[in-house]
Amino acid sequence: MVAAVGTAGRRPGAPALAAVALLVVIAFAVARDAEWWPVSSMRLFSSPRTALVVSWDVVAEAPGGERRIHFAELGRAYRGAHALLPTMRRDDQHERDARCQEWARAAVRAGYPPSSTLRVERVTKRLSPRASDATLVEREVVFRCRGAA
Amino acid sequence: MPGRGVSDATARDLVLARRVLAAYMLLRIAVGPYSALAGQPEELFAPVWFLAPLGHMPTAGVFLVIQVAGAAAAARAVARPSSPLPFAGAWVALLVLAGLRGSLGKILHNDVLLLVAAVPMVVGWSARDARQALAGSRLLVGGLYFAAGYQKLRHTGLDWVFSDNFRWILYQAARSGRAVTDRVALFVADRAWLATASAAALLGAELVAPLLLAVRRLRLPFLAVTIAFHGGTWLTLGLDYWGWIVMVAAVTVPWSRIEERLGAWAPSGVIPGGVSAVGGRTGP
Repeated sequence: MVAAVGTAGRRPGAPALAAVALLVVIAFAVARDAEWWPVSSMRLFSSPRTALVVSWDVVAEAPGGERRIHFAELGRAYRGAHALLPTMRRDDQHERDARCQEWARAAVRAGYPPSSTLRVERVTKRLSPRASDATLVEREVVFRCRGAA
Repeated sequence: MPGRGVSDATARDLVLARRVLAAYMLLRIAVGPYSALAGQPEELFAPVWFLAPLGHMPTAGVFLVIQVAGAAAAARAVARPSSPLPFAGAWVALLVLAGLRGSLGKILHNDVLLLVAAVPMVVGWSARDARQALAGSRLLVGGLYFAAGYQKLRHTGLDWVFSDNFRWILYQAARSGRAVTDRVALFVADRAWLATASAAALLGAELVAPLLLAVRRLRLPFLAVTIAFHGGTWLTLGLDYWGWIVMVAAVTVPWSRIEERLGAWAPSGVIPGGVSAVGGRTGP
């Protein structure tokens, strides 16, 4: 393969070696579904999509009621929350509390009422092609963590 | 003189491909909303592997320094694309900035193709390396597109095309409101035959990408396919993959021939190894 990239009659140079080495790493990443960004397993839209969609809700529990946190309102630095939530169930409670407190503080700064506890839920909904509302299939409380009251 | 077997045109193609990539990197580095990441608390920092030693998101001032230095390097690389350091500097700056964007928790692919496939052009900047640099970048472009297609088959199989999978991708995208309009996504999703045909075309293009890039005559048609593909992705899903189009263009367009036809819009005599003129008609 190196020879194919290299010029005929000339020893493969740094560009050919770099290309082939990267291709090998990419092949490993693909085989193991590993992400060594910018080397990627390239799982772009590779999982099947159906009418069922799973999302994560973080609900701020406060004496006056409860309110779902919209992370888009907290600023760009908080937009990765939904990518962090699925793996947080494996974290210990101390790590969860540390993250939850930061979200709760940012929520208060964004105008949400102070909350002593955040409730993290895994929500499964069934979509209809054109309807704006989705049907709730399941709402599972995955864990609770400390807020910023 | 360029290395044995490397024509002046190929060497010039590399210079101009690097200029195109540098111009895109300049734009990406200069206008990206990176400093807005600066407020991220340390507890939420989910770094990509090579940024883990940082421990937290840099301050706004550090972002500004990286952006200014990266933009300056990219601007220099646009002006003198055959100089190795400015191009490498711009690439490193984009790598760090895009890596920090990807340290919010979600893996981002917007810059992946450019950052990976440009590596042979970062390490192979001289006229002597031109053919290997362009061929190496093409190999990586083809490999990454193929990998994306392979993963669809591996995780979903032919159902990726022949089930309602693609329609639901579009319906979910229409609900998200990320695209400038939901009309295009809904137009395709509402017509099962059109959704299936689009999915088949998309998957087919990814899987045959290495072949299309290997055959010189098929490279420009592949560029046209990627423009349609990523333009469609922007219109239906609202996702920005412009960098992928730029990277494909860099390794498929016979830049030296275009330059020859348009006249000398680029300074000549800047290629290490003494190439000062556009030679034969050997496109990339």
